[in-house]
Amino acid sequence: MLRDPAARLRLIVALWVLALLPVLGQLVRLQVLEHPRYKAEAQSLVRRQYALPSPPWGVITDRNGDLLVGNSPVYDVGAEVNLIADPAQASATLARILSQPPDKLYASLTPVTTTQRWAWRSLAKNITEDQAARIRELQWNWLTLTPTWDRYYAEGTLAAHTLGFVNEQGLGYGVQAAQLRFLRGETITHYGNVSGNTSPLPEELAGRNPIPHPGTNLRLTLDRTVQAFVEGELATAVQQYHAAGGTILVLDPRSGAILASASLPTYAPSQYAQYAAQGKTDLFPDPAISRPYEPGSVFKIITVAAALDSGRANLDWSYYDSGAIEYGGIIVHNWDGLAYGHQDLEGILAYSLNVGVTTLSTRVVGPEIFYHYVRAFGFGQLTDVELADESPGTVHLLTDWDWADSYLATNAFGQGIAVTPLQMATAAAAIANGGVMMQPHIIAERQYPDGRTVNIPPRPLGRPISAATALTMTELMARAVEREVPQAEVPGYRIAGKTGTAQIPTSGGYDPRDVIASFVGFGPLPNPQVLIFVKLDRPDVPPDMRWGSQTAAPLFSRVAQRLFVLLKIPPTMARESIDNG
Amino acid sequence: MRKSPWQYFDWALLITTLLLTVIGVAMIYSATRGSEDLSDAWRKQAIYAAVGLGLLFLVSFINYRLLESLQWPLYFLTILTLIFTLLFGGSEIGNVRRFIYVGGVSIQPAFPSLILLIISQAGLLSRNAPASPSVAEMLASLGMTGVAALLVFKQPNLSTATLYAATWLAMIFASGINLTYLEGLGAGGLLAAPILWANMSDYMRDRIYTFMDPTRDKAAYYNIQQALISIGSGGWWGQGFATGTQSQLHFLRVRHTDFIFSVICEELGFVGAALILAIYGVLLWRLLYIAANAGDATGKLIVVGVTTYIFYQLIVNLGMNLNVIPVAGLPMPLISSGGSALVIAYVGLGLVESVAMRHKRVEF
Repeated sequence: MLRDPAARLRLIVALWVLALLPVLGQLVRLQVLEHPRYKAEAQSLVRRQYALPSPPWGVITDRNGDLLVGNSPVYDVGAEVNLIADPAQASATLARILSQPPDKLYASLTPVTTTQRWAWRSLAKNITEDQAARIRELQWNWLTLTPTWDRYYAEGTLAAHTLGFVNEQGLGYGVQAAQLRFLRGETITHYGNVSGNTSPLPEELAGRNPIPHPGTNLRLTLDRTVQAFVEGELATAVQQYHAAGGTILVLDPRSGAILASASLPTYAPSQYAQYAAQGKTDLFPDPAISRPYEPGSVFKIITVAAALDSGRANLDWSYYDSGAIEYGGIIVHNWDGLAYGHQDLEGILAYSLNVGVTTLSTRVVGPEIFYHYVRAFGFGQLTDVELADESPGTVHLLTDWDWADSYLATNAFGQGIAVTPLQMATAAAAIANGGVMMQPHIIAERQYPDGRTVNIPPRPLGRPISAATALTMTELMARAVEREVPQAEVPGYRIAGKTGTAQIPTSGGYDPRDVIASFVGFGPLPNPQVLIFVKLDRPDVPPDMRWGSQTAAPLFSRVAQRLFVLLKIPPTMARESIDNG
Repeated sequence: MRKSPWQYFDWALLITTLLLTVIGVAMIYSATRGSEDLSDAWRKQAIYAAVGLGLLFLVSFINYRLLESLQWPLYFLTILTLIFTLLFGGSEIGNVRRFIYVGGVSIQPAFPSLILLIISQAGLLSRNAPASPSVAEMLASLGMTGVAALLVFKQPNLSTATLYAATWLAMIFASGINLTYLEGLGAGGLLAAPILWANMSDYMRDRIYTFMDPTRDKAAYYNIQQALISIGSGGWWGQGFATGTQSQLHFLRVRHTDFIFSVICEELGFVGAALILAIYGVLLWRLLYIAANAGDATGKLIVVGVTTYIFYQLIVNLGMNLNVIPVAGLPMPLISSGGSALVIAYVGLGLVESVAMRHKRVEF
């Protein structure tokens, strides 16, 4: 039969038809029999959740509008893992661009199982525009580049603790963590049609507002110039006194505005991830608000103010200082162990007499009145400043389960009580402000994306002491400086202040060697415009030089001198001579 | 009065061809809509079709018997072209010498070479006509085709090499060869298979492995999965022209070339796909009608060769789209985007028309 040429042609046709049969069969199977399954699968591919490009966060400026924290455009890189033909080659190339170890990339680029058909993995975050351009040049269809923003710290480490940072999980420190809900714009996610490279379709976006809501800008009360100067002075002092660290706070006592907040050791907020990777997370909390310390003698101003304001003592009041007083099972001595004889309130502050303040707290005012004032000055409570991770400190009260009578004696001179630098500064600022304690705050203004600006007005927290008491306290503190701490004085200006040299509590007692030297002062009198709090941790100088009067007071003087000029406050003496002339 | 040879020009064949070309241009437009760098593909395809049409008429005007007399020069031209490709050819993928770039246009010389080879082999195998070829002619033809196929295989290009083999097999079968020769050849081929396997490139073995274990090659597996989803989601009537989600949203890759059938299935559905297959059926019917009525053995063999050239590509392409055979880079003839392939197909069909127009024995 096959000898006939026509038959051979027919056989060829038959073979073609035979070859077509599996094709047709498969076509029927896919398009008719299994159509619903494939249709569902096609739908599931197309309808996916997608996010619009994330909006930039609000920027942060200082009180004069100078940029502190901005945004820089960066990219996130991802990979559709199952489309990668050659993971080894791809990881080698990407390792060069992303500066990552090739092994780690190779692991990210290799699918765990073959059934994960649409696996997408993040490869790197916040890569620069340059890196992104190099990645685009590769033209690899499985790579995704998502434009986003990274925080840009215009002044490097300036005000690092105050500015802080926020990590991927939305956790962090400083004003950025505290004000996250304002700073962070709204990232909009939708569920809808996306194309093969996971970006939404033009039709999909047509019905939506594609402009994401940017964050709210914040203008801080910080002054960039003051902050930079204060940080420099602190660094010099820490070096000079071989201190482990320190804090300087500058407040406007009239408004509670924080003009500068510097603490050492510090860090670079832009590099927070590297610090975290090295286990240096201890650097992150702001010592000014997160690290309570025993204030020591600076706290005596609270004790004296309580005695004065409650009327239990006045300027005529005096006691006999025998060099020791017993209360609650402990004996309190003066710092030098000496007896000072007949002393009044001025003498107590000038010579910083432990026996004197303990006499006041235990014999004159008693626990109810004493702790009423301690609470009224804000100790043991959060100040609610707009900074993350604030500590309330520790104040033992009569009603506490672990109360001991000796607290009333030691608290009078700042032992057995823990406060934050900001609490101490805020309380002293109340004295400077005629007895009205202002809410300490860091934000001056919010600038909303719609153009609205909202000023944050100064807010009084209360009046712990009367105006008269405040005036008397100011005078006592000024005389104390003039009599015993000339190192703190500022030429041309009259200032009030108090030194402190606190022992550092350890488990089972106090550190035999190290101290915290501090000074809080304000000026110029009679209308204080600046309050400066200075603290030096563990200065490593000869023991007789460790006193707050030897280290913190001169530092206060240097800072105050320059600040009065920076803030354009004319000298008191000059004004008097003008008045007299 | 002598009748014009145009009297026997097969218009049905031409119309079928043009119909498939138009469908191709439309589907290329649909598949490349929305991708900027390909937005011109459908226009280019239409221009190439016009060029092809001109060449079809030109070639049909040439008496194929003239070409037959040139069989040896044509054969050497075939071999020279393939050697030239092996030496100077290139490709976008690594160490593959498959394409020649002429003025921004990439040409796969293996396709025009095969058309030339078909003419020379048709001449050789019809030398004893109406008697069937002898063993010597069969072996000579096998050797000549084998050398050409080997040159293609070395590019490396397995699927096109198999196209050479299939074309030769169809032609030798249609030449009326004594079947015992073919049986002997088949037995020899079976013995040679292991040697062939050992000489295959890694990528060829990979494709066969991938077919057997589709998860091996992720990129290929991805596209096969996307193709199956495209085809399956088409259903009876399809999602409509230019609205298939898989192809319009770029899930499917190389959708305008090798995977255009998936786009057809997704957008035109089973009915549309079956209709297009039916048009191919008409084409096949016309081709074999012309072969059966050819004026001589040479003409018949030329038509059988061109028929195999077109339909082997079709079967392989459909099989790949539907995942019934391994991924092989053969286009869907007359429909897939690709200028040179389209023009060559038109030249082949021009040869067929040349045979159709001269189906009467020329009498001197």
